[in-house]
Amino acid sequence: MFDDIKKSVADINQSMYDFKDEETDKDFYREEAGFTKEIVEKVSTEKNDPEWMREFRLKCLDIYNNMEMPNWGPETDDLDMDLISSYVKSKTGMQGDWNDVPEDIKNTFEKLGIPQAERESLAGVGAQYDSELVYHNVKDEVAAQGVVYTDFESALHGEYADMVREHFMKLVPPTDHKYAALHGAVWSGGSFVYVPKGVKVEIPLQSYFRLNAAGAGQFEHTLIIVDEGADLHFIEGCSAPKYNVANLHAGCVELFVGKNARLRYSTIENWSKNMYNLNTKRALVEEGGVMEWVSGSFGSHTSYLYPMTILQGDHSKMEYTGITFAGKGQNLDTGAKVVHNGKYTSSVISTKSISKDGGIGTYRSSVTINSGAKHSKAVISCDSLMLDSKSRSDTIPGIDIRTNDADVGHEAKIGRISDDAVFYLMSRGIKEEDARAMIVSGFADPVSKELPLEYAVEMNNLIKLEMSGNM
Amino acid sequence: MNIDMRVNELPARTYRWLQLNGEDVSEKDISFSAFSLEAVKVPEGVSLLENVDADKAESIFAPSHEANLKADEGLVGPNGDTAPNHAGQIVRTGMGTGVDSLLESAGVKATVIKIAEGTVVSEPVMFHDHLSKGKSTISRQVIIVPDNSELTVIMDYDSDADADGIEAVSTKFFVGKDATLHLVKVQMLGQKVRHFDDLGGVVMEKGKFDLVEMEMGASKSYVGAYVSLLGDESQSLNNTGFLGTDEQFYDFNYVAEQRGKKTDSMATFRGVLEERASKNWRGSLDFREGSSGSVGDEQEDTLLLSPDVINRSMPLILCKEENVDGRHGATIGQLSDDMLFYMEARGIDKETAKKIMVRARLDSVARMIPDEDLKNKVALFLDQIL
Repeated sequence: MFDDIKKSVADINQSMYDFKDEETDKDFYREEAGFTKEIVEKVSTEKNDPEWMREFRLKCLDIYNNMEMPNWGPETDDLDMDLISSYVKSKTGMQGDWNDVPEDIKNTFEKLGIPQAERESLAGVGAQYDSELVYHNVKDEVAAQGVVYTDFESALHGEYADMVREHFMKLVPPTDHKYAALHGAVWSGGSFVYVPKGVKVEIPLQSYFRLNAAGAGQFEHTLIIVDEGADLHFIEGCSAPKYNVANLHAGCVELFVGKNARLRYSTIENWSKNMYNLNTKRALVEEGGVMEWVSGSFGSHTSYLYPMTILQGDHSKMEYTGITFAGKGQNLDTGAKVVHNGKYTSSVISTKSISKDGGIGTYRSSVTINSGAKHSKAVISCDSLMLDSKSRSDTIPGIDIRTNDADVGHEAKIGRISDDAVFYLMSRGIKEEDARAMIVSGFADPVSKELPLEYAVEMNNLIKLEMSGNM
Repeated sequence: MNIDMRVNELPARTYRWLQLNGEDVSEKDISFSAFSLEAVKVPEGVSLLENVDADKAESIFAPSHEANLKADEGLVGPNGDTAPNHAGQIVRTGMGTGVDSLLESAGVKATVIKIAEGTVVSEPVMFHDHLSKGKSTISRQVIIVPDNSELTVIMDYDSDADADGIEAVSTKFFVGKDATLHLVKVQMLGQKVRHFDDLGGVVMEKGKFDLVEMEMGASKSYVGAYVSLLGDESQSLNNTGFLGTDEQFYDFNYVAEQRGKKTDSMATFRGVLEERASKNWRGSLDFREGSSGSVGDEQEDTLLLSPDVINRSMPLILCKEENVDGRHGATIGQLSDDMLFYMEARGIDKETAKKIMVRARLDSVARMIPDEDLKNKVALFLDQIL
């Protein structure tokens, strides 16, 4: 009885993301399920690919078919690839004016607060619904600075086609892993950003990804090039309604941070809990460049997510701040990877992981310091909080150092909410449930303080939602 | 015989490209010439049974093995769980099932070291093996320390400089209620010898397992220890020191599996890598469901003294229990400039300062050896290398 009450509370709380619109043949084109040569060719034709991209897709499919599944992460046995549709598209096409977006899709993004955020705090927005962007806009003053922020398909055919070809899946080659190969075969949607030399974009750009179709995959590609001395904050948000069938997200993010440039890439991921989130993110940082990741993982049934940074240039830096909250039925395997190649490079990885109600949270990472990375420093700190003994929390970090001229410090801790802290708060009139939520919010504070205010509020709301019904 | 085995598997696999999920060992045309260590000293009160069938020697582990299998039914393991690969072992060991198969293939009988219940033997039992050129030894020890008793066992291995064989040692232990086992292992083999050291055991209620280990020689050393803290308030203490020079390769795998309530595991790994030496170190704290109130702490401190060394570490904390406190810390790097400056200000040049620091690091482990002769032997060995 009590369990039923708890469940219903949790379900109601998820409703702000868990709404869905019927997708009919009249308004949507949907590719048949599965990943065959015929389907890949049809997607390529539908998207009017240049010939090199068509060939690339087929090569990727071949790699996908011949590659083994990873043997180290969460189980994906319930993900039947023959039932996943690679491509679902609104027949309306992409709009540059919010008023032209179809009503049902517009309602979806209105509920998620995207247009409001655009008006109040963003320099540009891209909104992807299923496989394609439905809306893309960038503020005039930002465009006037020479900043390019466009949907990926337009970039592939437009003025920046050569730049796209030069960078596309060069950081994440299709041979990297099975789902990178799948991404190369059926990618669709996503954004291209180019920030010219010395341009500092004062307010963030944002892409929002919504996967509304049941049993579909989303394979968007994000390519960001921040040129020498430039500065950008890019925010990515993801959500989906919950269905009884598995959905798949196998996106790919490639980030190029130029000399003395800075890129902050923030993600609040709240995919529905039927989602397999097998996403790949990677950044290459040139001399003096700075890459900052801020990552909050709350949704998905299963996640494999380890943003990787290659510190190629001397004096380049990386900072990763992440939180993962694994609740009932979730197996979230997240972390970060960094490779130090340049001299005087430095990296800081700081993660928080919370497991509750039978959820499995795994922190997995690797820090590699190659022989040329003299005078490099790496600091890794991972804290895990277990909220009950039905859950699991595992920490699996790897460190590979190939020079003596490096300093590496690693700290990991795992524990529970202190009874004394709960008692202290309760003695001051705070209910136990609120006290525990407050302590968890405090645990997550290093992440939320790295986010813009509106997103920090959203993250704290997500923590409160997850914590409610926990008692 | 040929040896092909996978050893030192991580309890939970990770990225394949890191190549740290375990190590493959391949040796061709190995002929073992000795099948036990020499018992140098057997104090009064200790019984030594030689040539015992393995099944009989290891039967003491059967009840805990069955209990663990039952407890693990329906267990939600970590992602990439490798436990099923070793479920057949009557007692889990660090190197894993590969060594058990090797012992079977070579037909190695066990030496059982045992004392009576309620006995405290203050003098250590001492074993030794010396390898000469063309010789290889494989041995199997089972140490049984029953309830309310205490025993110290010391094993050391050395060789002639031109020895080129294998020193393979398997040690399994049972520590009863309120009992204590102090186990000391010192490896000073020559630079062409390969060394396998496989260790595993169980510790019952309020029992204590205290390991001091020094790995300083051999061309390749594969060393694994798996300690199962089964009883409530049981303890494991591990102090390991290692020195890698020339092209030495070390592959370590230590696991503290904490099943009982209020168990305590503390491990410190201190070492130095010089020249072209390389080291893989895997250290895992595994808090099982029911290990409420347990604490675990692992600390690694590795000094890197050459640009050509390779140092790889995998410190895992696996947790299926809310009320635990697990920690891991690692400090990996070279001597600090402050330390060198301090030394130089006192007229000590850089090379001498390095030697002092290396020596201090290894001496901090060596001083825990409860035998003066062996301590002196370690000092002499280090003098020759450094």
